Amino acid sequence: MTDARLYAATARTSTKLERADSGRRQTTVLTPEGVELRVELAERGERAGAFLIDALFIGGAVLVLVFGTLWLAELLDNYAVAFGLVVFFLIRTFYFSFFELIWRGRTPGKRLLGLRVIDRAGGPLRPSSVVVRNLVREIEVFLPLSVLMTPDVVGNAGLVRLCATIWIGIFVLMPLFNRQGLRIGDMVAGTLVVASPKAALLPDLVDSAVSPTGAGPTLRPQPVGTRFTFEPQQLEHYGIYELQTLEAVLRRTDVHAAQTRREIADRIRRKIQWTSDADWNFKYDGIVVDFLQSFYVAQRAHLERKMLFGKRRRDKHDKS
Amino acid sequence: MKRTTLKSSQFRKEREASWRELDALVARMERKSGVALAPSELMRLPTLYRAALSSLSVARAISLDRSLLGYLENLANRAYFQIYGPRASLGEVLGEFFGRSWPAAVRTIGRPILLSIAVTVLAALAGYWLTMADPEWYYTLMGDMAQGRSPASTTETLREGLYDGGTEAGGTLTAFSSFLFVHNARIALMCFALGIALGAPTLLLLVSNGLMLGSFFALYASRGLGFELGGWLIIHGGTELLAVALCGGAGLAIADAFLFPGQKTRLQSLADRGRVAGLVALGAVVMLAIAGVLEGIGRQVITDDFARYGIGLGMLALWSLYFLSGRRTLDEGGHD
Repeated sequence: MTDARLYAATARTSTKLERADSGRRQTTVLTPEGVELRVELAERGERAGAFLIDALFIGGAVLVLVFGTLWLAELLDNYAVAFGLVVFFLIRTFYFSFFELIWRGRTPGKRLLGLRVIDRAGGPLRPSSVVVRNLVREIEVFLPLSVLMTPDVVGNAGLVRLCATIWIGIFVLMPLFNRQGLRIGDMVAGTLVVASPKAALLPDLVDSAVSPTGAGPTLRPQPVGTRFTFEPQQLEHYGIYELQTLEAVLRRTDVHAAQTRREIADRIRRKIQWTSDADWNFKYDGIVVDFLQSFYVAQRAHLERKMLFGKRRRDKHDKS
Repeated sequence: MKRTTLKSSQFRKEREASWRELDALVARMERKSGVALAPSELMRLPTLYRAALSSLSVARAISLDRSLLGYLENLANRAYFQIYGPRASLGEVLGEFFGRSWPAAVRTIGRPILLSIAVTVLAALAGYWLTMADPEWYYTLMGDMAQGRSPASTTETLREGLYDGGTEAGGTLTAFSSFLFVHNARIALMCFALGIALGAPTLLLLVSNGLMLGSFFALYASRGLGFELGGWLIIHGGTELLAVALCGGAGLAIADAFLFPGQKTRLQSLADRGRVAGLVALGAVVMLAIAGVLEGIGRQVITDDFARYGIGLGMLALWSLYFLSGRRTLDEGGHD
């Protein structure tokens, strides 16, 4: 969807978890300071990916171990097998706990994909939570795996086997059955896996000029032109959703940005019945940018003033 | 019209420096976990973090600059992760675990643990009684776990089984004990984790474990080898059975929290109890490692009945002392 169409579209409201700009679902945690933080939930696919990466690392470690044991066998004589068995168990059971403890809630796989474990209630992530959420992997991953490899474990009777399969399936697929994508380990440990994307602080559009050549807002503070001024009734058409979409458009730097800006400027001029300038003026991107930015500043000032008085106008359909 | 000054953009100008400072600190902590910040920076961190949180609250109320809101939201998140991530070193975690948390966790869920011990004992009595009444039960209860020891074996074979192994090479014994440890640890962890399935599989595992034990004992008792078998079992079994009971108790505690959440939501109740139960299960793995060594090496090397009893009962006494000497329990959140 182009920004122009987005701009025309209504802000959707729904009872589902809100989505962040990145498209991830959001949820809130209450920090000990009493501020609700909005966190982006890790997508189930991302989590599966992180797990696969970690599984590869474990597999690699085990391979190294196997060859290492063969090599050690000469050194350690008969103890090598014992050594290998125990180390394999320790790697398998404590790999996740170990890294999540020393890297503040991340394993190598999570780190690569920018995921992190946090406490669901917003408190500090306790070592016991980390250990518990990973011990439960035993029934989420290793039990189903061993059943897959040796199906006889669950019994040969058809019904028993069917029940066991369904039951194990519920364990494994639990993240699909709840909105926050919790697996059983997360439920028992009270944790949540979130994405931790980086966000840069972009210059304020109020006092930095947008370069018409498409290089994005410059860092040099520059007063926004006063060529365009708006009457209060001209600012009554749009709400917060439209304002923030306009902000996104003004921050765009791609090759189609100029085209989108012109379309939106036309749309706004029609809507607010802008007649002070002749149409041909708006053929120049410099003027379009100037116009849009002035409008953005005026509109934002208007909406923020209303917000201080307790009126949040969500979008253009919000008449309250 | 005169140049518009927005409160929100003025607000940003005033606070921006402190955000950037926090951003830089957090970025450094992210690049190298556990990097030592200078003391002065460490002092600044909580102040800057709280300032950022308050900025976020203010910005939500007065600003419509989406880029600013997103940035603050993100900054607060990243700082929060760094400040509230687990930050103890591994040594501290281990010290805390063995010194305080584990025994306290065991005391906290004492009742489910007692229940799981009771279930095992009752099942063992049942297994004993059944097998005494009709030896055929032995095959039913033991399945293929008997490893060649069955009512069909001669008393002599059975007796030899209790004392052989003393001649085997040390390496094989170690391999055997580590195999036992890994096997038992998996069962025990399963016992704990399956508590989530309302405890039914946990109870099943405990019952079948007890039945086997009782049935096995009945076989030997019927040949007059009860005392000798007791030594053979208790040298490691005291520790091992206790560990399994702990895991069973942990599983039952989870099931209880899920079935009867009381005032809390089910998820909250589960999370609170899960942390305590998990500590108990983790400790049980350590006990199983010790039991594995006792079984794989100790039992094969020590063939004197009284020495076996001495070690086994001694270990049990030590465990009881360790778990029961303190008074502290953990509250539901897993805190002191």
